[in-house]
Amino acid sequence: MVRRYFKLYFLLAGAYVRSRLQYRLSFGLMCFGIVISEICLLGLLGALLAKFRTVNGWTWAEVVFLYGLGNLAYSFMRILGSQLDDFDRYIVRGELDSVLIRPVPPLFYILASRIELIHVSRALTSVVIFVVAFHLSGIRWTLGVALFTFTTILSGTLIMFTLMLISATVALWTTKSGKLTDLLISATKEATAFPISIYPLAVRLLLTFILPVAFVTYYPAQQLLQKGEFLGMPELFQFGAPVVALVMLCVSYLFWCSGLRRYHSTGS
Amino acid sequence: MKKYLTFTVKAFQRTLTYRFELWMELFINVLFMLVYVYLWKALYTGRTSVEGYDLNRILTYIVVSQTLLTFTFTLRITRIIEEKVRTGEVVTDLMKPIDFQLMTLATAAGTSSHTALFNMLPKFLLFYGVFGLSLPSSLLMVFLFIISVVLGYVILFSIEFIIGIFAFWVVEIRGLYAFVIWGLAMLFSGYFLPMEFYPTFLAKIAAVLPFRAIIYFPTAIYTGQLIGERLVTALLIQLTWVAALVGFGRLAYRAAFRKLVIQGG
Amino acid sequence: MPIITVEHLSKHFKVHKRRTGFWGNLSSTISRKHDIIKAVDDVNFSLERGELVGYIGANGAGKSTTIKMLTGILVPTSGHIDVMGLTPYRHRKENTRRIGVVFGQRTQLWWDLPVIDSFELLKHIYEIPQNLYKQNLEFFSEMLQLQPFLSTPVRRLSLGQRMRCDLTAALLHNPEILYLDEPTIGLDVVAKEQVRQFLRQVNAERQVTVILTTHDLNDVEKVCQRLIIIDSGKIIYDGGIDALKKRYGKTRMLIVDLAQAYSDIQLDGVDLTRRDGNRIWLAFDRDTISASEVIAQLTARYEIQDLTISEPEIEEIVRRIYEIGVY
Repeated sequence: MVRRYFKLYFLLAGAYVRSRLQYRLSFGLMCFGIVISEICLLGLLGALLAKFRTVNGWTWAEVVFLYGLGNLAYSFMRILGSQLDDFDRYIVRGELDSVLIRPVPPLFYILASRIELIHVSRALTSVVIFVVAFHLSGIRWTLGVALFTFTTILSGTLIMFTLMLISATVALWTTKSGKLTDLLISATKEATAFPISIYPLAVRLLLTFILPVAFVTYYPAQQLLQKGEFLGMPELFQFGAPVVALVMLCVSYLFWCSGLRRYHSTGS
Repeated sequence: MKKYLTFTVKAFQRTLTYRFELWMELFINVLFMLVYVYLWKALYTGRTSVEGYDLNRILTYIVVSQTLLTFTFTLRITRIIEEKVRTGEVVTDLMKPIDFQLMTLATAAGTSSHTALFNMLPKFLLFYGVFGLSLPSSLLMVFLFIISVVLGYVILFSIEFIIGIFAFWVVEIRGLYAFVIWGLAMLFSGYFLPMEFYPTFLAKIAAVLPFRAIIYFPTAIYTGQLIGERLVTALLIQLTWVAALVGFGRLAYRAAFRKLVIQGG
Repeated sequence: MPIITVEHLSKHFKVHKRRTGFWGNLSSTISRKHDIIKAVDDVNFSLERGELVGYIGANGAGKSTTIKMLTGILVPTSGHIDVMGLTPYRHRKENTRRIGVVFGQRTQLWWDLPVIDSFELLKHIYEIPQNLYKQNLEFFSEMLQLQPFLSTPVRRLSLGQRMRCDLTAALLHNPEILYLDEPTIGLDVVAKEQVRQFLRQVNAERQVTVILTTHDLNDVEKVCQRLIIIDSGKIIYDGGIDALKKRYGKTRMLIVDLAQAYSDIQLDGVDLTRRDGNRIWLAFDRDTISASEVIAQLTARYEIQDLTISEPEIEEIVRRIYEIGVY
């Protein structure tokens, strides 16, 4: 059973990759565009930090560390969950009907139909940025640190993915979500690139409890960088990412199911 | 002229129907702007002025530029043209006794005036009120700012239009679009920080590209960063880009039209 | 034992009322009202295995809604559906394994990949055993002459070729029921004929039950044995095509161009069914009155410029059923 789904995932995702590779030039340009924009954005961020030295007591290496961590989670999520960012076309063009006549769980089918390799270029850039920042922030590699980092990135990817799923599911009610999902994810990603201590309480609460992306970067970074800035939140939050990811996974899946139920009863 | 205005009104009304999308978009935009406003507030703690920007001016800059950036998110001209080419709808458009470029611009203007009225204006006013931002120094500056915004808008439109026209020759233009709009335009338009803060080499690249004319020029006029001779130069640069890009767009779509007539699509 | 049983099936939708005009539009942004639309309203029918049924109706009559409920995409508001012992929306996955679906307006194939790749993918999605897959692929590619373009990307196929591939894709897993939603839409005459021929053959040789929605009545006339007509969500005819012709086919139509638009037209034994300027359509039953009698009446009372008599085609019959209901 599990094997069948693994195989099916690779076959469907492979079909998408082969489709995209028909347009090599476009594919190459997109990768190139992403790398360029990542590097330039880092250049701008660097220019800014070079001028101001610190952000709320965070050195520029530490800020780049946060930025890299968020970006990594973001790129992995983009590779695996890109199908959700223009999910509304499934409803607008009636493609969801075509999914529902397959003997496969709809969400699985939708996610498997697209694995966006252009974001591998972003992931690779992020890895480089992250590793360098990791080093410059003076963290030493141990097995524990490596494991913690891995779990953090995995949980971060899942948290961002679930936000994307929730945002996409909204289209099952509104029919059209346009660039909303994309916007939401970019906004939250941007928000996690900086220490959340710069924001007022309301925004911090929003980023902790409602769009819990503070668990993608800020709280785990407390553990890795040993900053001890919990802003009145429990210190346990530094280990909270996997729990938050699991909770969000359940919440978003239930939301998806109820969205699908709604679609089953309205068909639009 | 009136027939083009019809396209504007129709696009405006079409956009009105997506209620939820509007509220959410506004909410997310506000979040985006909050991130940058607070980042700059944090950066300016203990400082009075950097590169000629005091805190008030930099916040004004960030809010105005983020507001103008909304056009980039909502325009979608490339996607519309690509879809029309793919479905063949473009043929009927080209057969109509109207100018395709003007018609597209009129449609875009409809969508965008909606964006301006229901998204950009409210969020600008919100930030203006909450953070006590400044207004342009005089009515003349307000006027020049608006002119500059319109010119910048036409430049953004023309770039998207030209990419869209490429769809006549290549099936897949998403790559080009992503590269130009999300790659180049985002970086060199000055939405993230004013040109004055750019490292020299990036500033040099930005100076030869049209993107800073979309956001940086109008915003710098608003904040009073560009005055006198430099302001006039900025407007002239914008005008030159408008002429060049609109002209190139025309040539491109004429060529596309010829191709369509000769090869039948 | 019927393969499909539908009892008292209804589907109601809430539809947002769109206010007109600028201010109406603006106020819609803030609050909305809605109406209830009965897309399918107390529909009953059952199908035996191996039947070939045309399900027809105007746009918005409820055809697609019915198909969507049968395939498990939509949940009925009320009523009961039994497809091969399953309730489609409750047993969606089991149901989909045993049915094939073709949407005429959009392909189920992978747009940028060679046709054969789509078939391969479907083999895995439906877990079709390799030998069955090979056998079916051979069977269909011979029958539909797919060989020349099996390795062509779908986007380069003509509409007709694509439809042939879509039909194959829907049948590779040996479904017992095949649902077709407007399979001939946009096809040229030759391609339409190919599709029809294929459907008859598949139905005859493989005992596949076929339900076909269309608004091209030639499809129905040339393919189906049975016809279900739906209008405003209600079934208004269910029966054989021959029976339909026999029952309504006695009515003939006389189309007359009058010299002037008479305000009041009175004829015995004749129905004035339509009127367009000086042209009138007269329906009469050939068992009770002959064409010459009608013409004699006409010429005696009015001045005529031209006239033609038409034998009822299925198209005409259905149009009349729509216009004046079952009689």
